[in-house]
Amino acid sequence: MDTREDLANVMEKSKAKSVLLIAFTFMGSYATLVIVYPYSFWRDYFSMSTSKLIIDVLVNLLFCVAIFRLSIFIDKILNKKISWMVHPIKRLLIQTIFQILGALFLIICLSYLYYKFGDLINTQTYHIGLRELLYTVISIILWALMISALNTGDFLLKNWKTATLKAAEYKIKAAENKQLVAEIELQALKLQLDPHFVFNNLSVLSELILKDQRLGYEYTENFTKVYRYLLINSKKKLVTLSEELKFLDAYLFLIKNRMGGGSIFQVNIDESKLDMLIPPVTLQLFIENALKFNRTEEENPLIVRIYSNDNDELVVFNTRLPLIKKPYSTGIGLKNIITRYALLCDRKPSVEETDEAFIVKVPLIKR
Amino acid sequence: MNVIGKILILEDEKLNAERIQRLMGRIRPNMEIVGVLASVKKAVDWLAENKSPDLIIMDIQLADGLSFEVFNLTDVKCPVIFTTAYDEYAVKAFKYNSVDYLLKPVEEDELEAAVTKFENSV
Repeated sequence: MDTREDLANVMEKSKAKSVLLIAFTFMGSYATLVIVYPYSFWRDYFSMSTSKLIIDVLVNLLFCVAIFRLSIFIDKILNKKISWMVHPIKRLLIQTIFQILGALFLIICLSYLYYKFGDLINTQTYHIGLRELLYTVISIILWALMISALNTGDFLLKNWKTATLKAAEYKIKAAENKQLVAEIELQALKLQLDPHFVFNNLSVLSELILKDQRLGYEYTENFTKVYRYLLINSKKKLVTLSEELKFLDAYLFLIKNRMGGGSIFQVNIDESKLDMLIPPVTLQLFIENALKFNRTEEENPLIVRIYSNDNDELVVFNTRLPLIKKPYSTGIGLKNIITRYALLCDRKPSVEETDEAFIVKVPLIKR
Repeated sequence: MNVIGKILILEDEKLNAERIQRLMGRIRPNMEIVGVLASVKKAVDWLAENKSPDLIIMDIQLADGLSFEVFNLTDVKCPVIFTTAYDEYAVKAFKYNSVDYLLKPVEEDELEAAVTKFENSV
């Protein structure tokens, strides 16, 4: 969602709330006055001229707005100084005192204004007794406190809502992460048990032993290295690039002897990057994909380049030689690498696909 | 009992192809291997230019795609023995003129049983 729109929405809402609270105060003030003042007062009051009546109502409205503003202002200042969450009782006491003082201050200001300019705006035709005056002051203070209470209630409710939402979000995220980790582990397990991999290699190996014992011996050694790497490292989060490259050497040895000249591999890694980290078996997946999706013919071999660049990335580039029919693929392997990176760092792998080439870049992570 | 037959091998991994050739030489020395091809395209071309062999021994994953494509691109007139490292394509292989489905590394006994099955069906 658009955050600016959100903000505008929130501001609109808080504006509506302010208007509602002011209207509430305004009506409430009259309701209180009806109770406090005797009938004779109202008779005199309504016998005033219309213009005076309007002025009186407007002054009252202005006073309500002032009380409301003051209440919000005190709340805002205290929100910064004393948190409801940390010192609730201290806050309650201080807020109440400030509200009372604020309301008294406003009443004094208003009285002063009436005293100074009363004759100009309103010739006081009615008499107010001391009792009524006290009642009025008390009711104004009560109203100020009520506004403050409403405002605080709203604030606490909002806080509670955000906190609940955040907690829910966090729970969902945690569940998602857990599932991701489980998926990655499952994938690693599948890789370890990949029967294609095992039997293809054993098939080649048994023939190689008959044909060239020395090569058969080397093939066994490399197959052992590769298989052990898959078993031990595929569950780890990260390995050094040099470890992964050692594995790559052994893996490429197997591929070259199995598939012959159908694919050519060029590895060129800057030595300074060897201590950087990547998720294990990443290179194997990219090479497996390159071999799976492309033709590997001796007359027109597939070229795979594996190199590091200046942006601390490992790049796997391969020429594109599409198969007769695009093989079925879920794309889970590549997706998995991308999600693995999302859990590891802020940088993301990138995939670039043109008619001529397929290029994957994965970030190298600093120790 | 041993009929003389022409056999075509589709296999992109040289050592696996050599293995089939070697085993066939042992179990049926009088059968002739008429070709070893690594890709679907080569197989389609070969079948277009030559008389149909009597039997094809076919790896499922070839250098340019799955060997099932050969059936889509040309008319295969003879029976087929499939070979693969794993059994995920077994059901699909049934649809074609398959005599048998062998797992790699192909064993001599199994290959012989498959070839015998082919001979009996002719």
